[in-house]
Amino acid sequence: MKESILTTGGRHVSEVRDINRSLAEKALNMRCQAYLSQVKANLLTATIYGINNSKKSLQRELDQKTRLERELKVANATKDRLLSILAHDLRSPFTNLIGIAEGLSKNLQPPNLESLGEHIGMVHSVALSGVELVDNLLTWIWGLSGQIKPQPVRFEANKLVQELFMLFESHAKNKSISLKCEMPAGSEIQADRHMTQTILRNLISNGIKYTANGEVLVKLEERNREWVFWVIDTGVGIAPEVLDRLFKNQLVESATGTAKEYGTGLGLFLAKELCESQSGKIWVTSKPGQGSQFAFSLPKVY
Amino acid sequence: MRVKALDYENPIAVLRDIYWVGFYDQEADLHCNPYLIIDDEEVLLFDPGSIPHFSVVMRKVIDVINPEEITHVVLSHQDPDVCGNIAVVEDLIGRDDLKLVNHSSLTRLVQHYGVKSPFYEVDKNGGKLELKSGRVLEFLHTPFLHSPFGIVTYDHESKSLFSSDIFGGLSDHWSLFASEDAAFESMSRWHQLIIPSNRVLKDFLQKLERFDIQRILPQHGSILEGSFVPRAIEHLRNLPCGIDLTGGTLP
Repeated sequence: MKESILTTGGRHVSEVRDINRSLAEKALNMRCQAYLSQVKANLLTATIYGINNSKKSLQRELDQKTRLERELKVANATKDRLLSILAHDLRSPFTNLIGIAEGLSKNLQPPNLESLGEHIGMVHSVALSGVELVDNLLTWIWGLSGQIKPQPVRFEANKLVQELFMLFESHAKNKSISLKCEMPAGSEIQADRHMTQTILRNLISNGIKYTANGEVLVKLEERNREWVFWVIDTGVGIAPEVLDRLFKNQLVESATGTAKEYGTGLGLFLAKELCESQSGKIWVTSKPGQGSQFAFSLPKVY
Repeated sequence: MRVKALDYENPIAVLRDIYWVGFYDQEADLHCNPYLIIDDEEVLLFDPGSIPHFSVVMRKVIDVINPEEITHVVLSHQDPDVCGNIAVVEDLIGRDDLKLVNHSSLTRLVQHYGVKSPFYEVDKNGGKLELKSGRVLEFLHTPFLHSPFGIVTYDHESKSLFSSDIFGGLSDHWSLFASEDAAFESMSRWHQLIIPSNRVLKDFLQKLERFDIQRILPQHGSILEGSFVPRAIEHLRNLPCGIDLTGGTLP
């Protein structure tokens, strides 16, 4: 009896000891697993952080690449356009001049002096558009090489416009267009004179090109922080779908003028670039058949 | 000699202040031999073992002392069965001033276990560690036997050699204390497997001659005491190993 109590007791003690050992080991095992999980969690966090970072830098690189590609496409299209201008449009004034010269040599007899005046007018007009095209091309190429930096000076806006009107006088007269200028007397502005002249020349030339029997008006408006030039014509106007594309940083195929004047699309493209390089803006409102209102602003900050 | 069979589920006192806190799985025939030296104010843990052994080893440590009392962990070499659990052990000990004691060439490898504690690099400290009590542990670098970064530790006080993988053995019937000549047989198999040649063994044994060794405590195999010590040394001195057995070339 006594022996059996001792055996049973001994077995109980041994069982309790085994359970204790097993519990202690389980606790330690959990501790170990917890530690290892923590290590894994830290590694995972570091990995996710790393992946996120590389994702971001990848996205940045991708964005930059996409932007570069887009810029490259635009630049390529612009270059193609330039080549087609060089190949075709630059040739046209000379072809025209040759045609006029041939006409002159055939028809010019002493009594026919009236026809002489007419021919000289044509020569002037063709030469003018030729010079304009070459000027625009030069300015544009100059801009491409990144040298387009405005050099602001003070000048009289009215005087600048009158000079341009003299240039276009006979061409406008041939198309029965009156050139008008509305400006505050003696209004001096400060801007890059050459750039402003190129912008205005292109806008006035366009006004005349797309108008027959009408008017081209140049206005200067003084605002708080900027000067705004307006070039308003009473011509054929612009279709809405063309209007949308006009100032979208690319060359837009030019429509033929009312007297079949050719255009390259380079003029407006340049006008926009020259405006923006002076921190200005350019915009247009127009409806087909109701003329166009082009405007550009030049800030007074210079 | 030992009347009662040893219970390997318990920590086993080798001496009053040296404990075996190892792991023995009789069915899988797997074992490892971590040891504790409990000094006056400091406690050293030798080669804490692998991740799967962690709970058993540390349970036995806890049976003897509070793990927070461990001040040094000695790493004889880098093998995963020897110290694969070092980062978890370090975490459980939780002492800022815990030191990992090893040869400086081992530091680079042990770092891969994710440890945080500072290293006490024995070769940069005169090959010795003096405890607060004045007890001196001396370390021998043992390249070629078998880890290039390995050390053995001699405890001058107890005249014990913590011998890492040297003097270890592979046995089907492991016992903590060597008690029969079969121990030499398993020792032979083990050394012929991991030691490159008898020449390096001999050089090492010669270096041991200046120590009075009462017992040898290896990482694998059995603890050698008494007459087993000189017999084991003599046995290894004459044991052809590694390349000696293949006619001087790689097998």
